[in-house]
Amino acid sequence: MYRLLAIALGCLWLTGCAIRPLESGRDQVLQQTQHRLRLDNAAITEKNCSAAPATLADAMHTALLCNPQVQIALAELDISTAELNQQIRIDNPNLGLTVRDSDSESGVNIELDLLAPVIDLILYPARKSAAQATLDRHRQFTLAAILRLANDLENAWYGWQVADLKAQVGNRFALTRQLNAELGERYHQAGNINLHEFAELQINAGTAGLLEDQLNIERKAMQIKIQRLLGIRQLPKIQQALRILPDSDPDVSTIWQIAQANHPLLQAAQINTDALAQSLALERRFRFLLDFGAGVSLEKEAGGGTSIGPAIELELPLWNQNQAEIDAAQGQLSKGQQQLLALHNHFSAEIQLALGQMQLARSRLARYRQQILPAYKTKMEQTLKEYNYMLTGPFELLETRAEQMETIMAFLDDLGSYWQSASKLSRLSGGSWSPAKTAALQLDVLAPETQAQQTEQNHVHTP
Amino acid sequence: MSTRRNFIRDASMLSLLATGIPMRASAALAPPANTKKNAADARIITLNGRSLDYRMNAEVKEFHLIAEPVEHEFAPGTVAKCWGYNGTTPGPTIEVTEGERIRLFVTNNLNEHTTMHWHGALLPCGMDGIGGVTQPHIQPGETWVYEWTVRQHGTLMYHPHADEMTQMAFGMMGLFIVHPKQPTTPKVDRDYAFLLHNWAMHPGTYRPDPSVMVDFDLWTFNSKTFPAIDYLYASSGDRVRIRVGNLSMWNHPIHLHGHQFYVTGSDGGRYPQAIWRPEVTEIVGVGQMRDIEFDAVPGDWAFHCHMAHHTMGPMSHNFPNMVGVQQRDLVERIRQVVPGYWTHGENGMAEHAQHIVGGHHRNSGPANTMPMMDGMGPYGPIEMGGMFTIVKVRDDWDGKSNPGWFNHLPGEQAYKLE
Ligand SMILES: [Cu+2]
Repeated sequence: MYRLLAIALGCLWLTGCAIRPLESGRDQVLQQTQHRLRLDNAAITEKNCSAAPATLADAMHTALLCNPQVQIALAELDISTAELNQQIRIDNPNLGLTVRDSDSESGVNIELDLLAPVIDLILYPARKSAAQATLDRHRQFTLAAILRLANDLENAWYGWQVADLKAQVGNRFALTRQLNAELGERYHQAGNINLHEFAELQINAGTAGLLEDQLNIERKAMQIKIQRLLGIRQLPKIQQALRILPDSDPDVSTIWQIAQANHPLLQAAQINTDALAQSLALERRFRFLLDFGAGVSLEKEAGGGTSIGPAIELELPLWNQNQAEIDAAQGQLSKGQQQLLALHNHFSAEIQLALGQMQLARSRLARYRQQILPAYKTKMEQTLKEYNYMLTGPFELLETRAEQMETIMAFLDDLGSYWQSASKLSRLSGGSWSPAKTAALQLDVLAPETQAQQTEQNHVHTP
Repeated sequence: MSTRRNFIRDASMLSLLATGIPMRASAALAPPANTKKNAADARIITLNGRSLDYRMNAEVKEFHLIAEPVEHEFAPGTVAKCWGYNGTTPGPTIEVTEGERIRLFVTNNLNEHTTMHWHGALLPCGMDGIGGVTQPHIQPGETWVYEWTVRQHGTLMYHPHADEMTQMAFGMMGLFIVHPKQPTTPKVDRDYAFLLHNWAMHPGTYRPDPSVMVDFDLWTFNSKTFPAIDYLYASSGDRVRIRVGNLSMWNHPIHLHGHQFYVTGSDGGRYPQAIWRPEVTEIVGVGQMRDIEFDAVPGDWAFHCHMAHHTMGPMSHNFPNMVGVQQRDLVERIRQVVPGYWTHGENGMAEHAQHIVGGHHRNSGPANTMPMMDGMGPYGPIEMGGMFTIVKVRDDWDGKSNPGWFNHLPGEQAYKLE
């Protein structure tokens, strides 16, 4: 009789122990991130958080290792895993003990009940599978969060490159206008232009100075933004030039297919609907099995007699047959399906918008490259030739250069818009698409010293 | 009573009335394609030009002018799509003698109609060539004939009187010189002639702009600018006549150095000596002709329009004045943003001429654009352009070639005070 009790206890203990908890899978998430970002594994562990990165890939390494947000996302995954393990554990068996003193007989009457929650054991596989789905979703969310951070970094990196180049051009733009004003001062001092003309030149110079200040601040702000995304203390320095456009852009359906197969949020939504469907099926299957416990009951009577035997506890589905839970599960599934659909719509629209932005930037850049910038180059050369022959004055000459620089800044805006839209597309693809590597942009206007030296070789005369 | 013959005549008159165009067809009236007589007997020296060949057809002297597009060079480095006659602007000089019967064929090889007006000529009104007034226009491909007996002498001109603004702006004009039947005295040894003109040849363009009224770019003697204008040569003591006609849009005070010349004639012929007057500058108004005469004095004598801007090449009218502007310390900084920047004109514009004519900026201007100032003399840049040339008079001139620069006699040249 006691043997039966020991066997029952042993069985329960073994069953409880055989259940293995869920694992967070944070290493897999990190590996997936590296894979998506095409980063090399070794470099990540070697990354030093006190050195500022020089390239975008380098920056992503740094961010993965140094940005606390990455570690926070992984820690949240651990916490969530623990909570899930708590939720799916099997309840411990209940031991009931009743001791009664009897007036009529000598001795005490002892009742001992051991009741295990058999319902937990029966439903355990289904509950574990649901928890696994929740964990899988959470992993996808974690992956999405880290990829978003990397994408924010990529986006900011392009913004920073543009801001840096624009600030450089803007500084030269302001210098050009400033020189024009200084030249105007000389002309005015010589009595050759009036105050009105001089004031115009000063206004132009001052306005250019305002823009220059603005551009310098914007560059600094982008630097700080990147610094924050990297999780480092020192300001990074641009050592990688903005690139020219790849030959072509992907089409909508290609990116959509990549996104469907790879984007963590779409994956999570898909996992969610699958789990909800499974959950509904279980609710239906076990609609009559509400609560069920089994165990052993032992009674030692005051009179000395002892009885032992199996005991069960079963909730009878007379008034409640789980209909409300089934309805709720049905509703959850339908909601999850619609959420997935809404997410598909969102991604489809965002992909089209991002590609549209890229195509707009591409066509604008083509106009700049094919027509506007060459024409400005010609205009500048011709204005200098006219200046040489006293057909155009120095103010017009310098103003033409200033206008050329303004146009180059507008061109840079469009180039930046292209790369930022491309990085948005990369985010929409779940990091699984990235634009082709292209050559660095060369800006003649930023290297006039070399031209000046060449000019000096041809034109040795210095007044 | 109408005969059959009258009917034919009347019918042809009807057709004439219907079209308004006079027509005559005769083998004897074909344009002189092969002029037997060339202009080797010309007495006029047309600057940078020539006299038109002619043919004697019985007692009639026949000329053929062909209006057509021409590629013209104002000076080396500046060419343009112009319109002219017989391949040039101005067209060749017509030389006739008072009393001659002349017949002038005018063929239109342009793509628009034209006419020919004989400026200053005394002729029947119907020969005056005023499109729409005295005749229908000469359509492209047509040849029209002008014919009269010359009853005057003097310096005349020819030019279209159809879309005149455009056609003259493009260079359609020429000299028409009538020699007196009876020689006049004193005898002229060297008889030069040219036309004054202005051109809106905007820097970097290749076709004159006919819409410009005031701000012209090029000022020319016979469609050439200094230093491409021929020099005028003479032997010391020669009686020199210079005939100047003005078909530009400005009046030009024509000035000769080293001589008191006499204003001796115009389209009205050689004046009676009683009204000759001594001058050193004579304004030739728009549409006027003036003849000046002088006895040549040895030297290299400047001869030019005295409007200072008319002795310049193209320059901007909106160019800020550079004189007196101290900016050399800014140059290096400006070169940071405009490589190749240089200063010119701080102490006056001669510096500009030095850089352009003698320096490395020689060809640094826009395409097809001559510098503002040009020309190099024995002592440095001449700093001229436009309506400027030199009258070269020598004791020992060989009668045909450029004698080079004048050798001044000791004590007859300005000298520097040491
Ligand atoms: Cu003049």
